[in-house]
Amino acid sequence: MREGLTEHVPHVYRLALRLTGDRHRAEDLTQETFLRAWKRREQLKDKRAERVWLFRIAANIWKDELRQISARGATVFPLPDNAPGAEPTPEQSAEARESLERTLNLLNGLPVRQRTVLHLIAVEGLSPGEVASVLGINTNTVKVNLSLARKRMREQLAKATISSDLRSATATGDE
Amino acid sequence: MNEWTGNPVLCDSLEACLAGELPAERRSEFEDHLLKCPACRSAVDDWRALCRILETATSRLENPSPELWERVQRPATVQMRQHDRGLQKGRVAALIGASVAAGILFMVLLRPPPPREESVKVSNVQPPAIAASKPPKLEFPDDVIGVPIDIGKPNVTVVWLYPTVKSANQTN
Repeated sequence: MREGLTEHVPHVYRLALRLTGDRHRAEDLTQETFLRAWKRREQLKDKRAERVWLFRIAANIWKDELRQISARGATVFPLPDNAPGAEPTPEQSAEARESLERTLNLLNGLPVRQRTVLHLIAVEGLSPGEVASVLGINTNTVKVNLSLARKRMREQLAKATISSDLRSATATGDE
Repeated sequence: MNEWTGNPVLCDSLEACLAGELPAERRSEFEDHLLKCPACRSAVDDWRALCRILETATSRLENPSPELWERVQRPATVQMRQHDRGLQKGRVAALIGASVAAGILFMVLLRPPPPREESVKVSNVQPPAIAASKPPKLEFPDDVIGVPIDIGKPNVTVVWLYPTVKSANQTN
């Protein structure tokens, strides 16, 4: 496969995790995304927009799958492997790792649209317009979801007393 | 907007700033505002810290497994091979087509033009003297085979000579 596409595998996989909330489904979705992307690679005109294009394919595939899942009456969102309340394994004892995992758990605990919007803006650095095109929603909905996600994360982080970790991490990063 | 600042207009830019949508001309103004407004500053700091920790967490804890890498690359490699094979077949077909076309063109160019109707008529109406005249009788030596070819006009007879080789018995 072209080097240009494979470099996006981790990013597509992380978005798939946000969308599906499940590692196995995320892997299937990632594979399907790249398969479809390879078939439709001629459609990609702007190489710089490659990642957003892949995200859009992943989101569309997942939307179709959701439709099929709900038609079958199956469970839509299983709890992620590292869902809140899951017992930490002995290897996860390191404080920094725990802090990161707790933050991820909080993110995964948000409603799917909020966590996906937050992920695409905060982690992937997409603009609200790009997120809107990826998820097939309007820009105002993106902004509302971003605001809700941010507010909820702040509250949850304060509850989980990660705020101090965040601040020290910020202070360390700024030095 | 929030209650800690006296400049609600600039505080309203907070959401746009966090979404990365603040226009360039308002960015420096908002940066100045952040120095004076602790609420906005705190919100921006929290957001930047959240972005950083989410980025770190996802890149450290959510990496594709080697199996996924293999799964992603395998079908694409197969398709790429098929694609290349298709291209190769296409090239071969194009080459064959071009060769056939060149052959046909070559044959068309080398084929002698059909005789003009007029010239045929002329050749048919021969003067009586010429028509009556018989081709001269040619005699050839024994070691050649002479084939007289009458080409009509001008009234010339071309002779092809095929030299013969005597067999060993005849030589002896």
